Amino acid sequence: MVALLALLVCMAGCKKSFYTDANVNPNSPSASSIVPSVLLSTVEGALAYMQGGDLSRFASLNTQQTKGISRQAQGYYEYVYTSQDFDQAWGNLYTSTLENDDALLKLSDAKGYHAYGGIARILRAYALQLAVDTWGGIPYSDAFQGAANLQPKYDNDKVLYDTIGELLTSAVNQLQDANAGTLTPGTEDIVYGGHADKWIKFAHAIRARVYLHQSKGDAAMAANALSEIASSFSSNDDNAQYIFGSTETSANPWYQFNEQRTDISFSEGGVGAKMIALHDPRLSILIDTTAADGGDGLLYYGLINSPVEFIAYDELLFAKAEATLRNAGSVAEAEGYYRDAIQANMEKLGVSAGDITTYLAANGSLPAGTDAAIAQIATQEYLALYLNPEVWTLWRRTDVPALTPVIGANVPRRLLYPQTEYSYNSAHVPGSVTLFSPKVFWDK
Amino acid sequence: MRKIIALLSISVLFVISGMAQDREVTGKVTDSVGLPLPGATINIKGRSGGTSAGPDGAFHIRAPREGILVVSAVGYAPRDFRLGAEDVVTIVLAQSNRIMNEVVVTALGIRREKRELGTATQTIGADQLNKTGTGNPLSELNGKASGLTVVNSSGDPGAGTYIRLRGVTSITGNNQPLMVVDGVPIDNSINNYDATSASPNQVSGANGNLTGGVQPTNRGVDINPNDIESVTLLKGPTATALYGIQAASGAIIITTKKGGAGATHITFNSSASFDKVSHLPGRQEIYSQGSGGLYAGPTSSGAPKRFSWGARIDTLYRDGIANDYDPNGNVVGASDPLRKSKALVYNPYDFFRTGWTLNNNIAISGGTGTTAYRLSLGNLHQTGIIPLSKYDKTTLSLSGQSAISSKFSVSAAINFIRGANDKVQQGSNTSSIMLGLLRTPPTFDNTNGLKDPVNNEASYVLPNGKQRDYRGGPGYDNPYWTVNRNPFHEDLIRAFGFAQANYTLFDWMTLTYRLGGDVYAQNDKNAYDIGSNAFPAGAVHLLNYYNQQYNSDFTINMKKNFSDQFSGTLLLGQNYFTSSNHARLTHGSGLVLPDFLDMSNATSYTASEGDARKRTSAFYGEARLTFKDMLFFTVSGRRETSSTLPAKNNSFFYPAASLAYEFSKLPVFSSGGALSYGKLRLSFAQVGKDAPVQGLQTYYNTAVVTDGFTSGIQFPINGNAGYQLSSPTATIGNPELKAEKTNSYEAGTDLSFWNNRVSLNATVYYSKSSDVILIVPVAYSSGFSAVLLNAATITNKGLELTLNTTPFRTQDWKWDLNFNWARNVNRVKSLAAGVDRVLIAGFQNGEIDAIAGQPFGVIYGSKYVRSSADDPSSPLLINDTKGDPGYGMPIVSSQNGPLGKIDPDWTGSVITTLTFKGISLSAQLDVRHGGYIWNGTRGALSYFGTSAETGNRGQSHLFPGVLGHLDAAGNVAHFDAGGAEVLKPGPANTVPSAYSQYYWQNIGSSFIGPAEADVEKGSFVRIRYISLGYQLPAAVLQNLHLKSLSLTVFANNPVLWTKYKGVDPETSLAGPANGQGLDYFNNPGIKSYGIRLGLGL
Repeated sequence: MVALLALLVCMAGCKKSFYTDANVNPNSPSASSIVPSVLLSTVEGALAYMQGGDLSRFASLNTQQTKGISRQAQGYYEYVYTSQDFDQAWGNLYTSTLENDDALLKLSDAKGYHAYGGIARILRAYALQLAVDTWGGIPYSDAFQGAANLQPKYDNDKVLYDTIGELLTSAVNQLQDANAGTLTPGTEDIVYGGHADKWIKFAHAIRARVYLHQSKGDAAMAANALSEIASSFSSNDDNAQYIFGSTETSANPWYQFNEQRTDISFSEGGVGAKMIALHDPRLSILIDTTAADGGDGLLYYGLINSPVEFIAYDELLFAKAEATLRNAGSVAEAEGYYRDAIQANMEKLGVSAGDITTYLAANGSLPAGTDAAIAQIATQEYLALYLNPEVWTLWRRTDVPALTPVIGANVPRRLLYPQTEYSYNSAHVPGSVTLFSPKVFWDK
Repeated sequence: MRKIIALLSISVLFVISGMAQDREVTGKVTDSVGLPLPGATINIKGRSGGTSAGPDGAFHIRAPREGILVVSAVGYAPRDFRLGAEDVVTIVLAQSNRIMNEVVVTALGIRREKRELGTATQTIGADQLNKTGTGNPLSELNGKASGLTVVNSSGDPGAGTYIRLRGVTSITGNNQPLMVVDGVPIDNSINNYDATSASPNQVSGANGNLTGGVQPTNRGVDINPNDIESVTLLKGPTATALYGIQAASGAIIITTKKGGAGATHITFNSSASFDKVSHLPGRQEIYSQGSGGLYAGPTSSGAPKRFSWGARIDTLYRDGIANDYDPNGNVVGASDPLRKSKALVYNPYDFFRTGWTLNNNIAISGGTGTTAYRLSLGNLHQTGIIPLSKYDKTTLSLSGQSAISSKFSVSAAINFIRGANDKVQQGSNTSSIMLGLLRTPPTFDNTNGLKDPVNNEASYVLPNGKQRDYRGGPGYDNPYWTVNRNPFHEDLIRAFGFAQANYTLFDWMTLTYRLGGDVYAQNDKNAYDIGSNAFPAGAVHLLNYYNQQYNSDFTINMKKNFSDQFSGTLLLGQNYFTSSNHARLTHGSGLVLPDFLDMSNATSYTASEGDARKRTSAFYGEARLTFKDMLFFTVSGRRETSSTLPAKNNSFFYPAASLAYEFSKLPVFSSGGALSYGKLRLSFAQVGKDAPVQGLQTYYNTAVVTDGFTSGIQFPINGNAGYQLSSPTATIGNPELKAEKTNSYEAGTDLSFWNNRVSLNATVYYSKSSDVILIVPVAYSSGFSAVLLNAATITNKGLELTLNTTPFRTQDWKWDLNFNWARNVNRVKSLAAGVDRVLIAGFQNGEIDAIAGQPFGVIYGSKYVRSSADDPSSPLLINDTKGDPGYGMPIVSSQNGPLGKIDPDWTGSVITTLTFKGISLSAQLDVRHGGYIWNGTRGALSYFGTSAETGNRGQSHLFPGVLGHLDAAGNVAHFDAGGAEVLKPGPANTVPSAYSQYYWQNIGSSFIGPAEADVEKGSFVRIRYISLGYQLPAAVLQNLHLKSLSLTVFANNPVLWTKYKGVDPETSLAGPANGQGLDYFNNPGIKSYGIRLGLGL
C-alpha cells in the first residue's frame, strides 16, 4: 500500500510518457519496422481474393457462366442488386488492395527499392483496370490520402485508362533498372517469385487488354494491342496468377464460397451447358456435373489451393486473334491464333493431346467474315475465361454469347457504386447510375 | 501530500488501548404500535461495526455499560438509546415524518442522508432483490427503478444483460453505467470472439456487432446477488460527477452485506426453479419441404429442398421404407403405388426441454464490539432449455471491519468467483441453434424418430459419418449436431475486493484511503467439428482473456459548524485508476479426426494477441453547505488526466453543482397537513469522457481479407507474413482527439403526503453531449473505412416518476403499491461533417444505425414505395404493371430509410406487496411501450416458407394502397384506363393478388425483400414475477431455536402480453451492446417457477 501511495505521489509530477506510453498498441509493428515484402504479400493476396471472390461471382452470374440458385446469389443472378452489395468489393479494392499498395509504393520509392516499386505499380494498374471495367469512373487521383481527403473526387474512366498506361510504363522502367535497389522480392511474391522479366510481360499483358477493350472500330488500338502481346507472355509458364494455400485460412475464394455458402450452381450455368453440347473435354476438369447440389461441383477453379488467374496466355492468344481481325488482318491468320488459344487453354487445364486434336478438328476453324470470326473467337473465349471477371468485359464488347436476360429486358453492363460512397462521398459519387447506364466508355 | 502519507503510515502503528468492559445486550426494535422493525441497524456510538435486527426485530450486541446505541431504520427517525443496567431492552422508533432520512451510498461510497441530495437517486434494497433465484444481479434490477433499462439478451444460461440509465450519450462508446462494489469500480465488459462472423469481431465492447457465435456474457453478472445489501442508482452525470469519466453514463453503486457485532448469524438461502421456453415464432404446419408446390426431400437435387414451399402435407404419404433421413420412409405422392401411411408433421420445438436452476447460499456473520466479519459461499447451478447448455457459478466472499482505536478503523473484502458456462451457437451463423431449427421443414424430423436424440448420435450423424440434416448436405446444422459437435465452454476465475483505512485526525477531519482491485481470467474454448456448416473442415478456437484493474482513492473529509444555522463539509480526493486487458486468441483449422475437438487435431494455425492498457488519475473536491438544515448546496469539481488522449489534451476539468431545498421545514408546513415532506432539487453537472484506447495512431496489423460471404484469408500464408495498414475495418487514428463533454441539467421534487403513506419523486432532466468521439465511417476511396473524430452531438431529455404508496396498514395487514415510470427522448443532433448515418450493428438490410436528426438506434433498411415519396404515412403504391410478377402487390423501393427507433416511448412498472402477518404476496408488472425490433427471424422464415404467416399461401388478397408504379426515372406514376402512363398515383387498388411464394420471398419479408416488412413494435406488458412467501412467527421460531425461517414460491416471467411475433421481445442479438433491437435467430427467453427457502440461525 505504501508503494502504491508512493506511486500516487509520483503521479502528480510524473512525466507525460507515464500516460502516453500506456496508450501504445504493443501488438502492431511500428511503421519504421515495416519492410516491402510484408506489404507485397498482402496486396497480392487481397487482389486475388477480391477478383476470385466478389468480382468473379458478379461477372460469372451476370454472364450466366454460373447460376445463382438461392439466397443472395439467386438475387444477383436475377439482377437484384442494391448499392450495399458492392461495399465489400469496393472496400477490399480501396483499403486492402490499393491503400496497402500505396504504402508499398511509397516505401519502395523512398528507399529506392525499384523492383518492389515496379511491382507495386503493376498491381495498382491491374486493380485499376479491374475497377474501371466494373464501375467506369472511380476516385483515383484524390484517393488514398486518408484523413487529408476523406471525400475524393472521381476520375473519368477514359482518363484512368491512360493512367494505367502511365503506371505500366513507369513500372517497366523501374523493373528494367539495372540498379533496381538493394532489396528485391522473393518467395513472398506468390505471382512470380520476384522474377522481374515475368512482371514486365504481365505489364504488357495488361496494356494489351486495355488496348483491346478500345479496339472496336479502332484499328490503331488493335495494332497497339498486337504490339503489346508480342512483348508479353510466350507460354502458360508466364501466366499471371495467384495460387492459394492449402489451409482453411489461405484457401481459394471459390472453395470458401462453395464450402460455406453453396448458393451457386456450376453444372446449371452457361459454361456447363455449352460444354455438354460441344462434348468439350474441359467439362469434366472444370465441373463435376454429378454433384447433387449447388456448390459441390467446381473442380479446377474450386479446390482449396486453386489459382485465381489475373491474365493467362490463352487470353492473350484470343486477343491476338481478335486484334488481328480488327486490324484488318485475315481470318486465316486469326484462325491460327484462335487455335493456339484453345490449345493453350486446354493444356493449362491438363487436357490430353489427343482430346485437344479431336476438339480442334471440330471447333478449330473460324467462319468467313470479320464479325462472324470475332463472334466465334468470343464464343470460345467465353469458355476459356471461366470465372474470370474479364468474361463480362468480353460479353459487353462483343455481345457474345447472346444472353437472354434472366429477368427484365437487359443484362447488367456495369455495377452500381457502393452505398458507402453515396453515404460518405455524396458530393462526388455520380448519381443516376443504374446497372445498365452509363456504360463504361469502351462499351459500345 | 507527503505529510498525509506520513500520517497515515504512522497511524498504522497506533495501538489500541484497553476498552471498557463489554457485556451482551439483547433487545428488540419495534415501531410505535409494537410491530417489529426487521433490518433496523444498531450501532454503538463512537465505535465502528454494529448489527442489524432480525426478522422479529430482535438483536444482540456486545456493548459497554453506559454506552449509547444508535438505532435507525428506513422510514423511522433515528434514535440514540442510552443503556442502563438492564441487559434486555426494547427500543421503540417513531415513524419518521421525513421518509428521506434514509441514508444512501453516493459516489465514492460516501453515505449521505437522501434529503441532502440535489440529484436523483434510487435505492433498491436486498429485500427487493432475491425475490427469485436467477442468480443474475443485473436482471434482478429489471423494472425496479425509473429510468433504468435492463435487457436480458436471451434465456441462455450465462447470457448477457444489457443495462442502461437514462439515454444514450455515446454513439460508438460505452453507454452502460459504471458498476461499483463497495466503492471500487468493477469490470462489466464483454470478452467475446465471434468466430462465425465473416469479419471476426475480436474483443467486443459497447460497439460490438456480434451477429453470430454465442451469446456473450458481460462480467457484471458474476456478482452474487445474495451478497448485495443495496443497490443505489446514480442516474445522471450530476450524481456521478465525482466519479469522472468512468461514470459518465451513470453508476450502479452496490453495497455488500457486512457482519455486525454480536452473536454469530448464519443464514441459508436455497432456491430451486424449473425453466420453460417462453415465446417462440409461429410456424406453418400445412406445407411440406420443397418449392413451387412440389415436394422435394433431403436427397433431392437442386435448390427446392431448401424451402418449405412444397405440397400440402395432407396430400402426401410415406412409403414406410425406413431410410437414413426418416424411419417412416420417403415422402411420396398420392399416386405412388408404394404409399402407405399419411405423411407426418413434426414439431421441431420438441427440441427445448425443461431447464433447472439451483441457487444455494450460506453466510456466516458476526463480530465483537470492535470487529465484525461476514463469510458467504454461494453456488448457482443452471441447466438451460437448450440441451447441454449450462452455467455453474460459485462465489466466496469474505469481508471484515475492525475499529483499531476510536480514531482508526480498517475494513476489507475479497470475493472469489469461479464460473463454468457451456454456451450455445446463436444468431446469424449456419451452426446456430435457431437457424437450423426454425428453417427445418414441417416434414423433416431432426430427431430421426429417436427417444433421446441429444445423446444418440443417429439423430444427427448419418451412417457415412456426415451430418444428418434436412438439406441432406451443406446448409444449416441439425440442432442436435450443433449442441453436441460445436461446443463452447467458458471458464472464469475472478477475484475482486478492497482494503480501506479510515483515520479521524481531528474530530472535524477524517482521512480515508481505499485500494481496490479486480482481476480475472476468462478462458473460452469454441470448437466446430468436421462437417459443421460454420466450419466444414472443423475448427478449434482458444480464447484467453486476462483482465486486471486497480483503483486507488485517497480522500480527506472535513466538516465544520459555522453557526447553529450554517454548517459545511469539504471533501478533497485523489484517484488513480489503471486497467490492462490481454487477449490471446489461437485458432486451429482443418481438423483431421472427427469428434476429437482438440487443438492438436488441427492442420493449420493462426494466433493473435490483443493488449490494451489505460491509466487515469484525478484530483477532485466537493464542498457542501447546509443552511438551517433545510437548504443544501453542493459544488464539486474534478480534474482528470487520461492516457487515451494526446498529451496536449489529456487533462480536463469539469464542475458540478446542486441544490436541495427542503421546503417542508418552513413554518407554514409545521402545523401538520397533508404534506409530510417536501423537497426541491436542482443540479447542473459537466462530465468529460476520454477516447477509446489506442485511438491516436493508425496501426499496421496482420492482414486479413474477407468478402462478406466467406471467412477469407489470413496471413501468414505459405510462410509469408502479411501486414496491412488498411482494410475494410481499419480506422484512421486521430492524434488531435480531445475529451467529450456532457452538460446535464436536472430538476426534481420529492414529496410525501399523509404521514408518508404516499410519496412521489419526480425528476426532469436535459443533457447535451458534444464533441462525442465516434468512429466515423468514411468513403473507402480515402483508403480507409473510418476515422476517429470528436464529432457528434446528442441530447437527452426525460421525465422520471416514482410513486410509492401504502394504501393500507394495520397491525396485521400492509399493502404497498409502488409505481415507476420513465420517458427519455433522445436525439442525435449531428454526427460528423458529411456523415448522416453510422452503422451500430446488424445486417445489410436490417441494421441499427445512428442517424442525424433521429433518436439513437434506428432500424434502417429498404422500404415499400409510398404514393408520396415525402410522406411516410401516405398509402402504399400497389404495382399496376400487368405481367409483372408483383402485379397487385406493394413495390419495394431501391431507397433505404429509417424504419423505427429501438428505444421505447416510455417504460413503467408496478410493484406491489401485500403482507398479512407472516404471509406476503408480491408481484411486479412491467410495461414497455413503443420501440421497434427488426424481426429478421420472421423475414428469413417467410422466405424459406416455414413461418406461420406463409400458411396463407394461395389466399387472395387486396393489398390496401393506391395503384401505380415507378417510371423509368423513378417517379410515381400509374397507368390510366387506356394504358397510358400518368405521372401521379392512381386510384385505390382494385387488383387482387395472392399470397404466393413470390410474394413472401420478394415482397412480404426482409430476407430478400424490404426490411420494412419485418419491423415490429417491441411493446409488451409482462408479469415479471409473482411470489408468495411465508415467514414463521417469532414464537414458533423460538421453539425451533431458529432466528428465521421463510418459504417462498415464485414464478418468474409467467405471463407476457405482446404483439411481437418472434421470441420474447426482451432480446438482443448483439448481446449487452449498443446495437439493441435486432432479432435474427436469437435464442429464446425463459419463464420459470420455483421455490425458495430462507433459514436464519
